[in-house]
Amino acid sequence: MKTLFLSSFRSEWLKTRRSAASWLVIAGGFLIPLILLGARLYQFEKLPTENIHPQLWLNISQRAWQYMSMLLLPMGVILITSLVTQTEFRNNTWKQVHTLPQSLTTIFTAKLAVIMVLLLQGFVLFNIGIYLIGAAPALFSGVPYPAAEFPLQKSMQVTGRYIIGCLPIVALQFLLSLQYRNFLIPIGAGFGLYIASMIALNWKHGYIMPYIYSAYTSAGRNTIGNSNTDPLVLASAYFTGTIILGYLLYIQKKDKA
Amino acid sequence: MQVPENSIYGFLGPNGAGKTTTLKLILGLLKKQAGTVTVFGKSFDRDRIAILQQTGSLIESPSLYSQLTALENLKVFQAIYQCPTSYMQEVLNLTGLADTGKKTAGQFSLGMKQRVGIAVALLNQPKLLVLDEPTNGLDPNGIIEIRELLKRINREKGTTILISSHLLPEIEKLATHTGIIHKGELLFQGPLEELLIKRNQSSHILLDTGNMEATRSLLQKYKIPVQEESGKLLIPAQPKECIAGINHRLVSEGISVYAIQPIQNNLETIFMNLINEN
Repeated sequence: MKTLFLSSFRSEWLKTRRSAASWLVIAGGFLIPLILLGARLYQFEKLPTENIHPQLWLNISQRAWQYMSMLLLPMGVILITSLVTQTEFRNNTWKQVHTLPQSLTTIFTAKLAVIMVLLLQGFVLFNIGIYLIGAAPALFSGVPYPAAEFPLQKSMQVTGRYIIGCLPIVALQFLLSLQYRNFLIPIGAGFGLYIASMIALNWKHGYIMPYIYSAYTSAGRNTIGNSNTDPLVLASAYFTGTIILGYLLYIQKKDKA
Repeated sequence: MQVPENSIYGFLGPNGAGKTTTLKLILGLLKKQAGTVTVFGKSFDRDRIAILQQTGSLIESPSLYSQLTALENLKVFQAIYQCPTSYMQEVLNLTGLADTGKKTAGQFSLGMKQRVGIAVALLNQPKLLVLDEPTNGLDPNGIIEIRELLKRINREKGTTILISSHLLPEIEKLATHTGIIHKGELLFQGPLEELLIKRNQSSHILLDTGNMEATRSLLQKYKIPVQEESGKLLIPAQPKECIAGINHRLVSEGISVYAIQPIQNNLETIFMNLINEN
């Protein structure tokens, strides 16, 4: 079973080669850091003092995550999940995938795993980008290497919260992209739900919106209403429920061609 | 429907008859409403993965990832079959795709895509090959090449081939057994020879002569039923000695003979005959 899953994962991973999703991960991971790095270099004279500031990494990280989480992250997750899943519809390959010696469960989990690894790759690139915003200017003379140590552990914690915040988006986009041949349905639904989530950001019951959690993380909301419940607990529950529903709908599909 | 082991089973039917639906049911791509599918003596529902490990397929248009090369496309499937990597080059050579290099599938012509589809179907050296109109989009040369390739695989490796088509002449050149489907119903199933006998039985001969009335009288003397069609006479197929005799009599009676043309039934006529028989 383990070997079968790994083979299936390898096969799914090969499909991402030169795909729009894989380019989007690279572009999405580096876009905000590149803009922020450009902004820092534009104010070159401030760099020497900024780089010796003890809060340098916190300032850079907060700015980068703020821009990333409000727009690019949800949009990127919607697009990457839909693009990877819809590869089979786009290339008319479901019929070949379903006549390979692998179970439907393996296909489902391998596809989901590839999406998760791609997203993880995006987050890693984004963190490398954050590091480069602070460290790259030191390549120029007169700019010191940042005095403060890069807060790796804190970065991983923050990244982890954003990943969990994105999981409901992954689950719902995955479900829709497995069900509908028309690419516009998952994309349209995804963008619609994201806009609705942004509108509901200050609503007291906004937590019911599955696409709101990365914005909650960015806004520093660690509880829901008057309770002590972390919104990410709800995000995880949304993910689990939607994935189970997506799996059941997938294996029950009458036409697998 | 029964496909004998080591046979090439030509699955015939007009467009919309249910050929693709049947093949999809056999491969588990469509949910059955009733009945069972047994492959290699095993129930498909119970042993799906074991059966698919030994089955290759090409259903409708080829399934290819457009941003990948032919070799990369094969790698996607090889990863699952876990067959030796040397098989990939082997099937590329077999299907004439060895020189496609870095060209991606999106840049391939329809014929090339069809060849990659066939290469994918052959990749795991299957015991059963299910092909749905595999020569669609191929030029005449390509059709001959694929036909010879399928015959060779069947002969050398004993691969059972189930191939669908709406063209009787194509199946005639390839199949050992045939099945004919019409509106979802299997009208005929058996060795190819049996179908050819049926076709010959319902074939006709068209006579074009200088004097139609005299020809008609002569044929009636032989008790051969005659029909008129577009100024020519149509008679049921006759042994060749009999045709030679008719020709001889016509000429000796001074009737000019312009043409004696055998009319073999096309698939549609055979369908109609089979429907009428049923």
